Amino acid sequence: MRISDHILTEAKKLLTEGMMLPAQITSAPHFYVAEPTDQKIHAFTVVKHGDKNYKIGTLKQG
Amino acid sequence: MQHMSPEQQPLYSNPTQLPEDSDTRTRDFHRKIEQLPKELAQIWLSRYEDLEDDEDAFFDDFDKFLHNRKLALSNTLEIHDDANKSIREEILAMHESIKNAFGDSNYFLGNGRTAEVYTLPIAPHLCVKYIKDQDAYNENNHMRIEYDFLNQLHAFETNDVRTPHPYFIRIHPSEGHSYGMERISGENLSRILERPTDNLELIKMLKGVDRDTVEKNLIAYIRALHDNFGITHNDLFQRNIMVDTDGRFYIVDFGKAKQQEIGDDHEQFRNSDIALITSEIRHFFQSIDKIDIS
Repeated sequence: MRISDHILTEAKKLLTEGMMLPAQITSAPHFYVAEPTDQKIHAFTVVKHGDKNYKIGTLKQG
Repeated sequence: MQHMSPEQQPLYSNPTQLPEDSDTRTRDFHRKIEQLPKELAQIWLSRYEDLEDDEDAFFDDFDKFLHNRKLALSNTLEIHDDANKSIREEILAMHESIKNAFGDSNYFLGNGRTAEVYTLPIAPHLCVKYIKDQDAYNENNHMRIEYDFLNQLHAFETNDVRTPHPYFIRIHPSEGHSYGMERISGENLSRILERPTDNLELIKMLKGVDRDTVEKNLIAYIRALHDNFGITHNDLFQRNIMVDTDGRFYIVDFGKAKQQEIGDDHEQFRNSDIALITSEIRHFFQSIDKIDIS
């Protein structure tokens, strides 16, 4: 599965800017970039920034 | 000697038995054929044996096939090797959710001639489009091309008209291709007319809008697709125009869309787009006028 480039690009930008996580992806408002341990976010993929993987995903239901 | 399954048995007992005068491309072809599953390899070998002329065009086709196959297989499941276990489990659960939603009436949102759309159980604010009739769908753009159109247009909006945001594409040779996108809180115009009692709020809202402005805005959006992006839609029927509860319009389903290339003449496609959307939106509002919601 491939996540749209516009989501990956914005996620990397948010991480580079040091935004507080989870941070909403404005071009895909249902998606967030989050800490790998964030249990509120259901991962669709991961993005690497520095030496660390971050989740890209949507809010968990219920 | 390494054990090989029947599917992996080489087609030649000795790959070096190729004709001595084989050129590089021919040898390369036979070498790559050995890497393919037996059935696929036999199809290409038959085509090669029936070849009358223009070997270069044949080898170009073969290279293109290998490239597309590699892309398709590599996208089957894309999980970073170093993702931790819990993240991998979440990603796998998401794949299961996409796989299981297809065909489940609890999540069904709508259908066209070749595809169906379902909400995603694991993320209900997303929807996923699946191919239901691969043979019929093959007459249209490949799902990857359709998805590329949405990606090109994801940031483009004019006068409250846009396309749904694309989120992911899943190319899966055995389970079928699908792509995920924003779920619109609304309905397509065709379905509004087919099921007026399910869409009373939308009909009430639509009876109050300035229809000349709606028509003007939709035409302006389509002209911008033509002029700014070189894209013609070619399927602008009511079923491919959606409206949400806030009165925003969406153009969906780029399965028949075409990208104008240098040297192409898209004048006829452009004129057809404008004529069709004008006719469809006028007929839609005429039908809305006839619905009594009092």
